[in-house]
Amino acid sequence: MKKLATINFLILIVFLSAVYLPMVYEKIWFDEIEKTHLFYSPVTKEFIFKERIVGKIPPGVREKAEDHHAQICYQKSCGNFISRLEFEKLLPFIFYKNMEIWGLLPLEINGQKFDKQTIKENRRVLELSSRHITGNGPETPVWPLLESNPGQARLVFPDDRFRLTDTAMEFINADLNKVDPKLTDQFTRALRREGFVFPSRSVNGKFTILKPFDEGVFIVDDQFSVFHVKREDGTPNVVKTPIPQTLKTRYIKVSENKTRKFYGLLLDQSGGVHLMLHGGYGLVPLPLKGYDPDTMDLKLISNPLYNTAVYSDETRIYAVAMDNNFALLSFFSRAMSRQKITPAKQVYAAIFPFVFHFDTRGNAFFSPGFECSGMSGFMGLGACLVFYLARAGLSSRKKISPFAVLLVAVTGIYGLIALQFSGIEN
Amino acid sequence: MIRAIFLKEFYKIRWLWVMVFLVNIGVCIHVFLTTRRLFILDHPEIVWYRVLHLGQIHYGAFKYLPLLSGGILAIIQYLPEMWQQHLRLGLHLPAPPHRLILIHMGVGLTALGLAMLPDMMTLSGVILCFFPLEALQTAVVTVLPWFFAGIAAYLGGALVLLEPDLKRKSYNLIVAAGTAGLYLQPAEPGQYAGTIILMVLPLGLMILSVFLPVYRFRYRRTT
Repeated sequence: MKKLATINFLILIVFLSAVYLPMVYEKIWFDEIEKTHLFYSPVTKEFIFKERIVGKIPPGVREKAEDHHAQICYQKSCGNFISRLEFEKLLPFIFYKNMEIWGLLPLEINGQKFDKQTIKENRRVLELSSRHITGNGPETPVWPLLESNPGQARLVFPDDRFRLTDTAMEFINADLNKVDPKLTDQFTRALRREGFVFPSRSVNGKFTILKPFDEGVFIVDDQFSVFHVKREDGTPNVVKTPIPQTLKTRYIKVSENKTRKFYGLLLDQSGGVHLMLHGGYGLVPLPLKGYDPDTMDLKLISNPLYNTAVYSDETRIYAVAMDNNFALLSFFSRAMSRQKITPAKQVYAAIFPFVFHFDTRGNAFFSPGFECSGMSGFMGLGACLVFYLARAGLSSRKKISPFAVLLVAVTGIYGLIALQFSGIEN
Repeated sequence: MIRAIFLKEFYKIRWLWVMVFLVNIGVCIHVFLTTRRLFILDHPEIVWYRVLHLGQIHYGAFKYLPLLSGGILAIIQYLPEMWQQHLRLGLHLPAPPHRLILIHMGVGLTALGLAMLPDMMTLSGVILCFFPLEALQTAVVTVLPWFFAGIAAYLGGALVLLEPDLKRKSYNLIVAAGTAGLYLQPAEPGQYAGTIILMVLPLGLMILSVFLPVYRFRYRRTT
């Protein structure tokens, strides 16, 4: 039993060391580099980006860093560095307020004139974050169904919330914390009348009152049919959309926008993203090469001339420029500066042969994991083994044990700590 | 023998355990009043929005309570044993040391469970009174790691106090703090859903690790 206890203690120390030591190292030596900001310039019709430089700053960046820290660079996709002012002038639809201050409005691009009002009316950003996709993050499955016709300027939360059970759309009154049978019956009947098959697969909506108007919710039923459900004057308004079941709708990012051109973005089971048109529920597929909804965050930036889809995982960023009909114009991809191998990362890989993650690591769910350092970890293991043998050889109180040698050879620095803490080498 | 050890431990910790229990009850009352106040200050639908959608935690007072309870219970159970080496008498009973200490830990963990029981009952009661059932599921997943931190604090306390050597006591304190710390990392409500079972593994390693200082104590190993 003592042997078992010792082995357990050693495993516990190795585990804790492999959790905490890399964590401390990362806090001290790793800079948190934010993702690259990538755009499509309607002026020069090329991709431009802003990012933080990791490592040596090129002389070209220093020359252009007139009013900001030289670690931030503004660059064109062709590789030329530009100043911040040039960067903003290449994105006049984003920095239109500065354009106005600098007296550059109205703009003329492609022979068309754009004043402040036109720009404001045609700007739109839709975001689809991987952690918000149904099932990818924690969610309490009780939602509000706002009154879409509130009879006043401001939207208000209703007194109830709804849940989707296996047989009903059940409303719970928040004042009483009890099911409202009348409302439940009303909405469940309306859904069934339109052909809704329980249970539901997902409930999609923008659950806030901080929006210009309310478009209700989109509920995907068991057969992958999409139903548009609204509460109008307290009564249900249910529409079975013509969105094909074969798409197997996975998630809909609803975004009420004053232009009322789109309901939002629809994600299908195969990872395809479609823009859902307002009114007839028509779908416009977006040509997103290499997009993975479970690891990437997507942003669709629209202006009066172009649409740009920008998506990225932790290391690489992609952008697709599209015209106003969402036809592909240009594609760009780049490894972000944050993934550069720095000396601190090399030392990290050599010191720590493996790392245990026992936290959320920025994910929506707690995600314990194990990561190996690869070849560079062997250097660290070798160094630790030499250190152990030399220390044990020089000490009269310590003797070299085959078990300790094996432990250090496999776990490196963690094994050395475990030996010290457990005292088994004496 | 099991009954005798249970009785010995019961008489040893009963009054201090009552104090720990009362502190837990006090925090339970605080959580109830805090939640009730939310509904006095705002409309229920707004409170529901803040709690169910924005992830406001109205039972945050529970976060460090199990840690405190576990640590105190370990102290009141094992510190008297190590004073004047009372534990040595017990370890000379005709039973292996690990079995004896397992019985001691059984008593301690039961006492800790009973002290934390009102916390879980209050949480369930308060949430079912004010919120829909789904809120309880999210809350349970959120607070379970905090209760695991309490168990880690208790086992860590045993690991530290039962160790006869001062240097190793300090090492064991680091191990105890590290294990408890795993369960107290900042997290949004419901983030631990689906992986709770994995979180129990370090506690399993800890239970068996406590035998090591007991053997060292029994056989007078101080290096």
